[in-house]
Amino acid sequence: MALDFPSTPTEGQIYLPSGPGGPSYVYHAPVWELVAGLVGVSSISARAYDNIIVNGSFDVAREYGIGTITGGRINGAAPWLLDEWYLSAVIATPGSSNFQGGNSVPAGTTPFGSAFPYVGAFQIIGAGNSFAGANDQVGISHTIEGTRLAPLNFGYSNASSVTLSFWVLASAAGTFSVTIGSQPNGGVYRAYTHNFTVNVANTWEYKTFTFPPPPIGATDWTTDSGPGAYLYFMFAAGSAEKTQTPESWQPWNNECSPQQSNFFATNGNVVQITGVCLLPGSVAPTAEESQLMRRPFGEEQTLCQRHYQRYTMVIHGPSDWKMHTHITSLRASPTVSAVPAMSGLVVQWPGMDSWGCYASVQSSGEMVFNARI
Amino acid sequence: MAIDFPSSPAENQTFTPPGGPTYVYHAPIWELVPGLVGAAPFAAFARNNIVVNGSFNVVQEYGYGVTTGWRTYNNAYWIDQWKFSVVLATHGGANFELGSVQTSTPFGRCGQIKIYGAGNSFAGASDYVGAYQHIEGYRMAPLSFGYANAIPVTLSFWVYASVTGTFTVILGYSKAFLHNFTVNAANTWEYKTFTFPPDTTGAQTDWPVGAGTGAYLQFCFAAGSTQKTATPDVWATWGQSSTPLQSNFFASVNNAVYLTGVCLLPGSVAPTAAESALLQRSFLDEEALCQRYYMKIPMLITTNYVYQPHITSMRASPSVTPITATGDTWVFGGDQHSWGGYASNFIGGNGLVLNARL
Repeated sequence: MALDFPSTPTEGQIYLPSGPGGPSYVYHAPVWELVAGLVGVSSISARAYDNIIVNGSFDVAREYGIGTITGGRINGAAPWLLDEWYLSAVIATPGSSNFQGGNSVPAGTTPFGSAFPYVGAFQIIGAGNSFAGANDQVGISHTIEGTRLAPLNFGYSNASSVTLSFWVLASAAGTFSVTIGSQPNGGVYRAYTHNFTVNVANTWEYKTFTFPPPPIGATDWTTDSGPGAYLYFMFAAGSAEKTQTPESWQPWNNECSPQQSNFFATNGNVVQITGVCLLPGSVAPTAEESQLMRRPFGEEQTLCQRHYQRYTMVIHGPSDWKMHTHITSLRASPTVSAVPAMSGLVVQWPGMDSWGCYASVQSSGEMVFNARI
Repeated sequence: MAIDFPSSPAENQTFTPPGGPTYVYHAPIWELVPGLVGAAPFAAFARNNIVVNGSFNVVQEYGYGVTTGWRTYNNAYWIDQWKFSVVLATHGGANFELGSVQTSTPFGRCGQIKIYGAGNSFAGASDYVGAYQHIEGYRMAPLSFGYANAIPVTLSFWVYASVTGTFTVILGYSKAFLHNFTVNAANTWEYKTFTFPPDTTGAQTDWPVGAGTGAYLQFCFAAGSTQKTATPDVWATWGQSSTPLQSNFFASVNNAVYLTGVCLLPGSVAPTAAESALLQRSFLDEEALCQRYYMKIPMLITTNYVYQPHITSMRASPSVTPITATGDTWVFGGDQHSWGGYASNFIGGNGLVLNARL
């Protein structure tokens, strides 16, 4: 498609080089300026659907509901803070430290306006902690399903770069590591760690970084419905957990660089994150554009339900078999449980699309279908 | 954004101005590199339409075609996501016929509002007729209305009317911005666009961002005297829903107004008329969006409890009612994600309405 600007334009003249759907330009001497519109603001908005991350706005919280829950979140307890987000909190000597996490309304003044009504919120409570244990660490992670990773062609010569953007607020300034790591399919574990800096405490800051394509190695990445890659945000770590060389693709040892700060040294310190967006390519949305980079809640919820669903059921008894379809097909055959446990419940054929059950007596509760990765 | 191409490029040199797109130099010109821009991603743009069922395609409650007798159905849904508003102090035999009809529209289907029985002068001071949509707060939230960084939003739609005149469109919640559009030629499809400036001076509470109503988009086609007192083209506390320029599009019997392709996109540039027809989500996608608010499903009810997850999770816990009352005792329950129930007798051939509309 040739882009051949008129040679003697008049001030304010419009040029549409590619017809409807293409960009339009207006001549403001001495240059042609790109007109914001479908190609400008709205194309950014459309790109929200390209966001590889699911629930990057931390809106969907089916397991615990909206809000934060307190305590019991160290060393593997209750790690799924929100749909798609997992809390890794390992502290050898926790003392009275614990973590409160979930989603909440954003703290402070939001430069993103109302675009992100909720944020992921993580707070140390009881006492601060020095993370003196060599293997101590705290952070959140998101597992990217292979099918969502596949278009990047990671491991191939034509792999795309990928650009991360997000908003962060922390009680303390410092440096934190963000790592993308591979789930190999017979190859090697690869990781790229980048250091971000919180420059000003208690202030929302917008961060972006473009991860270059990884080295060639097709079996280093998985592109099916299992884990394809992992995205980690780390906010404190012990000595043995911050040895990853940043700013290049490396064998994956851990998720933190030597520059990693401890954001939870003081009781009550909080980190909030929202608007996490991972886009193919090398151009990040601007801070202003970032507020448009979100799918509507209902559509985000449906994406989450591919991995985790729960809904109320009444199971008629006795021995009255019923088959049910899921709200949306799951990633894989789920584990099925009931909250609270249903008396005499028998579940059969838990599939990606449907499941069956009966109960010895009529029972009711919330059925949980877990196909998380 | 200025595009200032390198002045003496080498063959195959690329240039990407901030924000893209990318160009490659093939002497003597810069060529646009095919990609997201060159491929004209209309489907992607369409997904950003804040309005749901803007093409009036999804009609779960009444089905395609028209139904009559709407004069007394103020604030009632006539098509998925679209409510009819009507106040008529003295009807004089006038009534309204509404529906989703297929005409030679740019979109295939459109929403029809037609007066029959008699025309009406809308002499009552509070008389009013129009159509509106609740926009869920989650869909409005990215605009950040009420914040300093709020962004404009651009409305586009097609309209066809039996007579020429001026009508009013409102975007508002506790505050409102009214804009007048003109039908220039009778019985002719016309494409209209307008960019609502952002409301940057309000408060967050002016624009709720959750699962409730976040804003209203309202079209007014006739109004009485006290309804026509709002000042257009300025953000103000929402009082009346029409301006002094408002015409009466239903003065004569059988006058009709048709709307379609209603699109509300973030940003300040509207699709062209040629682009507008392509800015539609697929029917399947649009229907799923509608089912977040309302579902009409076939069901067989027995005396044993039956529980089912919804086709798609709903905005809120719905009311559950049979489409046709049978005289049996029905017991229903449910929430956003599933529903269940039983009846005093086995009932087949009926269906249920799950209603979580705004």
